[in-house]
Amino acid sequence: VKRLAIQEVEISEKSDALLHHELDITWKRRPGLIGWIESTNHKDIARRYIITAFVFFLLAGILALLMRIQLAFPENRFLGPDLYNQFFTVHGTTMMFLFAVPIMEAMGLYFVPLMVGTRNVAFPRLNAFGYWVFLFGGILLYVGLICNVGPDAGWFAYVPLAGPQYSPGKRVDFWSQMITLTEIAALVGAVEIITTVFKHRAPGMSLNRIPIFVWAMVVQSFMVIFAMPAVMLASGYLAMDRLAHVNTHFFNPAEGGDALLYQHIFWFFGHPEVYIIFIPATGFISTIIPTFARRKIFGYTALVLALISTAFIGFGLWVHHMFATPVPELGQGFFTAASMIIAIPAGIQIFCWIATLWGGTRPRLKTPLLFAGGFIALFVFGGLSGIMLAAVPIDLQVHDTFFVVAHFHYVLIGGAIFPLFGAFYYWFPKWTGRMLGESLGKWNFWTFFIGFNLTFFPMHQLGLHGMPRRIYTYVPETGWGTLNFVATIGAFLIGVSVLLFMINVAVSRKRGEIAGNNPWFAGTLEWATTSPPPSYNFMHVPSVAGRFPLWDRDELSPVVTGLLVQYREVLNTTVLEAAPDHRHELCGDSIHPLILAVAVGLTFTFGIFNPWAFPIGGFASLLALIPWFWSGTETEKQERDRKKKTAEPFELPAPFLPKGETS
Amino acid sequence: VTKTRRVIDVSGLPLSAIDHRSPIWIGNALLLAIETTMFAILVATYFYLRANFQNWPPPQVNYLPPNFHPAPDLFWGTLNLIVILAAAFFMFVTDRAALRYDKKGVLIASAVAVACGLVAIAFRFREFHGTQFRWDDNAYASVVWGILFMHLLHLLVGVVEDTLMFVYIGKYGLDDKHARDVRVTAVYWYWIAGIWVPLYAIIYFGPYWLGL
Repeated sequence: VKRLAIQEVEISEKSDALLHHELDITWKRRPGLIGWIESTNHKDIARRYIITAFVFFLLAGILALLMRIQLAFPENRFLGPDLYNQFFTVHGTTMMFLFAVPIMEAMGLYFVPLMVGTRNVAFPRLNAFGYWVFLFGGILLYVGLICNVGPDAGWFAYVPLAGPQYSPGKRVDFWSQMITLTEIAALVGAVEIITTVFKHRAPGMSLNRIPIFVWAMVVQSFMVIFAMPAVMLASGYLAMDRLAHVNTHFFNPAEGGDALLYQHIFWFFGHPEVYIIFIPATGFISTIIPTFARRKIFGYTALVLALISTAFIGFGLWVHHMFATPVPELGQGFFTAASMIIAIPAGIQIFCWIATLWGGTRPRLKTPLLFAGGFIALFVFGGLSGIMLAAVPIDLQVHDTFFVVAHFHYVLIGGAIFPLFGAFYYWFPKWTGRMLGESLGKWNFWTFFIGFNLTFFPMHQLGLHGMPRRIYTYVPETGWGTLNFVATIGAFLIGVSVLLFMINVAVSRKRGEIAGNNPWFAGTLEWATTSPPPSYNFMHVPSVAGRFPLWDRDELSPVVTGLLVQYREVLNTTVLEAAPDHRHELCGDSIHPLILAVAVGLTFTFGIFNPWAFPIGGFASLLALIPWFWSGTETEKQERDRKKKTAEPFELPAPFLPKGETS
Repeated sequence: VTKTRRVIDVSGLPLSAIDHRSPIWIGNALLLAIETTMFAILVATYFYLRANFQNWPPPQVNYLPPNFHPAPDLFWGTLNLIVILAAAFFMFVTDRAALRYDKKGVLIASAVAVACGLVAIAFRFREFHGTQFRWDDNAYASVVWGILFMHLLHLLVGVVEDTLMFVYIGKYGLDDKHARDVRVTAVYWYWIAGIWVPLYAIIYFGPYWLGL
C-alpha cells in the first residue's frame, strides 16, 4: 500500500462555503416528485425504509390488539376463527419480515455510511431497488388480507397445513411470494452494508477501530446472506408445490416428498433470523451506553468476538424448534447444548455493557439509556426462559403453548424493540436537527415497560396451565380468563405508549429543542456532520485515529482532499487497514431501480396465479436491467456522448468481418 | 479569515481498481455466496429426499416396459459440462485480454464464450429431457429439475451480461471501468462452471453412488 503524505494547506471560510455549494449541486436530488422517486441517496432510502417499516409495525400492532380483544374473555365472539387465523399469521409475518428485519437494516443503511465516513452506500441504485421491492412485497400481503385472502397457516406456514391439500385457494401463495420479494430486499441491504464497510471506510478506520454498531451490521449482513436463501427456497418449494400446472412434490409424502424437510429448511433460516434482528439491536446498545456513561466501551475485542460467535452458533441450533418431531437423541443433545452455549456470548456482551456503565462517570439517565436498561432486564429474562426451552423435557411440555409466545416476545420486543426505541431517541436529533421530548420520552418508556410485562408475563403462567397458542377462544372452565384479561389491558397500555411516541415525534419535529451537531457529545463519526446531514454527508471526508474518532481527534487530525466535486466521487480504502487505495465514481439518481422493482414485483404477483408469469416476467426483468447497466455513471455518459460526436462506427473485430475487409 | 488545515490529498490516486480491490468485485463475490448457499440447500434437499425412496432414482413406471433404473442421460450431461467449462475457459482468455487492455482480444474471446453459453443453454433442455422424468412425477424428479433449472437461470444471466458487455465495448471501447467489469463477469463465469462440477457429479452419478 502506497502511503500518502499529510500536507498543510491554507483554507478560508469562503472556500468552505464554495465547496459546500459545489458538493450540494452534485449530490442533491432533483426537486419534485420525479427527483424523489429517482433518489439513490442512502439517507432518503433509509428514511423511507424506516417510515414504511414503522407503518407495518403499527398495522401489525393493531392486529395484535384485535386479537387481544378476542382473547380477553372466554367464548368471545368478536373475531371468528377464520379471521383470527389470518390475523395471527399476518401479525407474525409482518413483524418478522416487514418490520423487524427491514427496520434494522434501514438503521444500518442510514448510519453505516455516516459512521464509516463516506458519502453514500457502495451500490446506490441497487439500494433503491431493494426498497421498492420491499414496499411491493408489503403491499402484496396487505392487499391479500383486505381481500380476505390473507395467509392463515401461521407465520412459518408449516406443511402439510400450508400445502395444496389442506390450504386450497391462494392465501398461502400471497405469503410465499411476499417472502420472496422481501428477502430479495434483505439480501440487497446486506450486500450494500458489507461492501460499504469493506471498501468505503474513512482513512485510518482499520478493522479494530470500526464502531461496534458497524461491526454488528456487518455480522448481521453475513447472517442474512447465509440465512435468507433458505427461506426463499422453502417458500419457493412451497409455491411450486401449490401452483397449478407446476405441482412439484417437494413436500408431498405420497410422491416421496417430506413435510419435515420444510421445517428443517425453514428453521435453518428461522433461527438465525432471531439473531439477524437481535444483533443490530445489541449494536444500538453498544453505541448508546458509552455515550451516556461517557467512557469508551469496555471490552471492544470481546464484544466483536461475541457478535461473530453468536452468528456462527446461531446457525447451529435450528432443530430446537423441532424437538416435538422425531429427532434422534444425539441430535437432541447436540442442539440442546448449542442452544445453551449461545448464552455465553450474550452474557459476555451484557457484562461488557455493565462494566462500561460501572467504569464511566455517573451515567446520564436520558431516555435512550432508559430503553437500554429496559432491554438488559427484559432480554435477560427472555434469555432465561430460552434456556428452559432448550431442555427437551421442558420443551415437550410447553411446546405450542403460550409459554413459547411469552418467551419469544420477551426476546424479540425486549431484545430488539426496546433498543430500537432507544435508538430512535438517540438518533432523532441527527435525522431532524431537533431533540425528542424528554418527559414524554420517560412516559413512553415506563408505559411500554409496564404494559409489556403486564401483557407477556402472564402468558408464561397461561402456557404452564396448558393454554395452546393459535386458538381463537377457550371455555370459562379452563380458568384462563383472568390472566388473559390482564394481558389485554397490558397490550392496550403498549398501544398508548406507542401513541405517546408518535405524539412526541410529531411535536418535536416542529418544536423540539434545536440539537446542533452533537447533542449527546458522542464519539462516533455521524455526529461530526450537521444535523440533519447534508446530501453529501461530510464536506471533508475525515480521517480516523481511534475507536471513537470524535473523542480521539484534535485540530491536527487531517481530512481528505482531492476528490472531484463535479462527480459523485468517493474514496475506496483497503479492507484491513483502510488505507486510501483508489477513487471511485458512484452512479447518480435513476428511475431504473423502480422499473426493475415493478417488473420483479409483478412477476411474483402474477406468479401466484399462473406459472407463465415467471418466464414472461423474467424476460421483462432482464429487459429492465439492460438500460440499468447501460446508463452508468456521469463520466461514462459523457464519454459516450463524446464518442457519438466523433461518430465512431461499431467496430467488429476481424474474425467477424467478411474476408478482405477491416474495420 | 484563513487558517491551515492538515490534509491527505488523494487526487493522485487512480480512478478505479481493476481487481478485487474494487467494490463491484466484492459485491459480486457476495452475490455468489448467496447463490452458493442456495445450491447447498438444493443439494441438502436431494440427499434428504433420498431417504424416502427405496430405489434412487425411483423406477419410471409411466412407460412400458418400465425403466427400473432411470438414471439421467450421461451423454448430454457430460457433453454440456465440457461446454460450460469451455465457456469459463474463454472467459479466462477474455479476462487476460482485459488485463492487457486488448479490445480485440476481449471481443473475440467473449464472443466465443457467449457462443458456448448459448450452446450450453440449448443442451440444458436436452438434459431436462434426459432425466427421463417430468418435474411433477415425484420428489426426486422435482429436486433434479430444480437443480438443473436454477443453474440454467445463471447461464442465462451470464450470457446476457456477456452480450451486453460485448456490445458496449465494441461500441465505446475498453476503458478502465469496463475492463474491470469484464473481469468481474469472468469471476461470475468461473463460479457458474465451478459450481456445476459438484452439481453435475451429484445429479449424474448420485443414482449410481447412492445405490439401487
